[in-house]
Amino acid sequence: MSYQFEELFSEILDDNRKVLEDIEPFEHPLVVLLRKCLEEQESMLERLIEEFEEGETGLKDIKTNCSALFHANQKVNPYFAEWRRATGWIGYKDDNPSKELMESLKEKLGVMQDDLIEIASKLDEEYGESTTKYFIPTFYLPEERVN
Amino acid sequence: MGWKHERIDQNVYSQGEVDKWVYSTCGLCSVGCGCYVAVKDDKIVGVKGNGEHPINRGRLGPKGENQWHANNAPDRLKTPMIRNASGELEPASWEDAMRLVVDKAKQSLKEKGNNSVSIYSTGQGFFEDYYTIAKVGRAGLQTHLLDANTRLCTSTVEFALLQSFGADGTPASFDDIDEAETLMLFGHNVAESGTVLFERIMERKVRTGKPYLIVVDPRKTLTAREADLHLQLTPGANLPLMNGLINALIEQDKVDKEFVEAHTVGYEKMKESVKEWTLAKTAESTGIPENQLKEFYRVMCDTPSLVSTTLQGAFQSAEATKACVAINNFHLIRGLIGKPGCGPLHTAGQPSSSANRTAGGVGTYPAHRNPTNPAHMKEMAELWNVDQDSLPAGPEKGIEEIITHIEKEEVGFFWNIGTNPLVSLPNRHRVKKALESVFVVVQDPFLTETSAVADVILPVAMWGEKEGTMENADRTVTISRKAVEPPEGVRSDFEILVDFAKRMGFKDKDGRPLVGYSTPEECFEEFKGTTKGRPCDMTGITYERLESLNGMRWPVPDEKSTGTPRLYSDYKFHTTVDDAQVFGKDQFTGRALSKEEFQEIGAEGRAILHETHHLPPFEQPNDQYPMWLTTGRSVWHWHTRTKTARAPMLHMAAPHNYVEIHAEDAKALGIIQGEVIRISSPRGEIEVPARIGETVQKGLLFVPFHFGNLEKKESANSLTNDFVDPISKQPTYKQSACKIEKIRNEYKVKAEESLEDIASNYGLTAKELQAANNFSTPYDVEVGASIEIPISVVNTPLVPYMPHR
Repeated sequence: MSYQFEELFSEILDDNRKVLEDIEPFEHPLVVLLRKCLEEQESMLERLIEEFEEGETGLKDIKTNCSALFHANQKVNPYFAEWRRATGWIGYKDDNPSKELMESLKEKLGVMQDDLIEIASKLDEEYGESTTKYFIPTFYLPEERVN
Repeated sequence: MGWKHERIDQNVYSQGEVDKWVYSTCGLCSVGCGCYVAVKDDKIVGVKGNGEHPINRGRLGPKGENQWHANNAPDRLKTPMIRNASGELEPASWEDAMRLVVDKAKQSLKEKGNNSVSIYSTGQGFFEDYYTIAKVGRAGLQTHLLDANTRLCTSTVEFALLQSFGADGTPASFDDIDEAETLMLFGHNVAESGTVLFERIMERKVRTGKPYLIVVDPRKTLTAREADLHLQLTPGANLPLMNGLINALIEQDKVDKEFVEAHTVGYEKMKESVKEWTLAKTAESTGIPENQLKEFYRVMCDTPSLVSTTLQGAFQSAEATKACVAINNFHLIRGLIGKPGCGPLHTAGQPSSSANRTAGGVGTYPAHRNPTNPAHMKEMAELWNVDQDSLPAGPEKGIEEIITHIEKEEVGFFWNIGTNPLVSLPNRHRVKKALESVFVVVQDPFLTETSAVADVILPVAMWGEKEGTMENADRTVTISRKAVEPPEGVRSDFEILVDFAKRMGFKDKDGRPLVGYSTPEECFEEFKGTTKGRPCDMTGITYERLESLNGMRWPVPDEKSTGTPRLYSDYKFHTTVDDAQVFGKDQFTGRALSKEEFQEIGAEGRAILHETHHLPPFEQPNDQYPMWLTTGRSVWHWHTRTKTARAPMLHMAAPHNYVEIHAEDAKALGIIQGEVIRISSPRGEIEVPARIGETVQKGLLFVPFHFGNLEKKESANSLTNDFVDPISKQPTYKQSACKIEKIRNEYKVKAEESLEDIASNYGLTAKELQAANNFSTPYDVEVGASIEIPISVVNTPLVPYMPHR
């Protein structure tokens, strides 16, 4: 199980870094917020991967970082959606991101979210709903049990 | 008691004496004036102020005085309606309508899960409605998607209080305003939004010269005109203004160090976050001249007592929560809290939006319980006798997030109670499209604009036709008695919710009905039980005491208590882990913190000083849309005019929408008074008459948000963007970009035609036509030349309202 978590967290970390690179040139206030959340995700992912690399990992070792990771991701998606709308309204001009870039970012962030949903499901299996619901946001938890 | 004299305002239309006066509370703004409903022949025929009530001593505002007309409006809905196969709404029985509502709710739960059902309620209901929504929504439907139009109104209040003090509940009260040496009205146009409170402030000011009145507003509002110091800042500059003030206080070494040391945490980080805000930088960012800022700093840093009130100019602006937290920070580092005449008083727009927060119909669980704290959830499960695991946990979702879930087809059932989102939500074209895609129940006394997307409409009782309790902007809990029976065929929100719970078969752990009460008073008693020991303790409140004492401010911990005028007089804040209503959010990104992260702050009963790093508004004027757009209220209307448009006097006072434009901008563009102009933004356009003057600053347009007929181009929210504050998720209505276009016909001047001749043909004066074409004299017109004729000019008078004079 630890290996699976490590692998998934690593995949997310790769995507996270790519997204951070992609948005580096932009300074819209919504990108500032998006970047800050992605940087926080990156930091949490690094800590979690380190935790799993060290071997046996208990809930207490990952709970706080997981909580920060999932809750940061819960802000990433709306900030990206708002920035996307803002960009559409301003128009895709030279100093704004291109439509293609926006589509590719959307895809990467979507994959990232899917990976997090998969992790949430595994954590839910491992530690049970009574526990996970207090540190993983509802909408990442398995659909058949969403409270 | 602030008032020196009572004055009974009365608005009654009755042949002969009325039959009875029934005890009530005004159901419009958040001031919460006491009143009596006039009843004759089983009909409401008027209202008068309650002279004994400490909040208003008999006075009523123009909207309050006229609210009863809507009760008797001929277009009241008196039967449920169901949209038929051909898309038309047709009358239906309650049985059919409720069966359909229940079937659709069950279908959505079955096909899409618990989080596919959403209740979007109001800030104009009763505690009893909200508590029932909380119970039905959280323990019955077990959905995470409970929100209300309080998101548009006071969610910033809640989150500013949670961030700084650990729990909801505004620290100061109206009594403190009566005692304050200085009053700062921050984005709070109280002369138009809370007329009786404004009158109370001005009555004292005229009599004693106090308080020194500071008004922070980008518009020269009716309130600002009475200010000793009006800070007419540029849009989006609320936080820079507060950061500059706090930095000045620190630089002048006027921080109350003992208070900070004993009762707060986070000072050094907070200090670091404002250190760049020099006088020059603050002046540049806010557009306020340095000499005015110096005067502001002088008064604020030296005043012995201060109340700072906030409303939509703060809550619906960029950095809403941060700006309100900065106000809290200022009060804390000056030690101006928990003392007479001191404290932040973050107010509200609606009569009971605070009650919805307190009752748990939105945001957190009833009585300020933390949905991320298992101990609080255990208590809640025990109180409701349900399985703890069945209760949704974690931070709430806002309406804009719910719209996104609807767009993703994750929501199957949207229950809209007592609000009109197709007029009140930002970027309304997006909202309309989303709501057209989901099953929508609309619960309202009238066919509102939102009815256009309704699948079922449930007609409800109005003020005076039902009994229940509310909480105003300063924590005062009040009661409104039932004066008359609602029209035949109409039910109260409370009755509908109780019926829904029964039909859904919601049970507790022992198989008993989840909603076991059947009257509002029984419901209140149950809710009261959940408040024991919590910040909003209402143990000592009964319906009878609320009437005999004319309301009480929570906490009211026992039967001897008459309420608590001001919080935190012991300087003990709700920031211990076990007590906190939430574990807080990151002050910059809004990311929810965990219990462990909250613990790390180390507040342990002390107030939290937060960093307040500035970030510019998400949308700003640009090449294509060069003007700022802000939206707001008028003294004559309430929200989307569902009630006030049905009061003849109010309707006549402000019959249609308009746009305010600065005289210099109008002159530069050749726009004349009353000319219908097109305002557009990337979201849509409106065509409304121009009111030219100096209320708005140059570069800014103002459009009231009350008007929203779907057939007309008049809704401010066709233009607004739908960005939200990172922490409170409140939409930033006050800062959008827009442009102005003139709507003109071209006319070729014929031989021997004067400007006057042409003007008279179009119902204009020569002077107007001259201004519209930027001619320096009326004789600039030459034969064959093209001139522009404004397509429409509409007289847009606004009746002035300044009762304190």
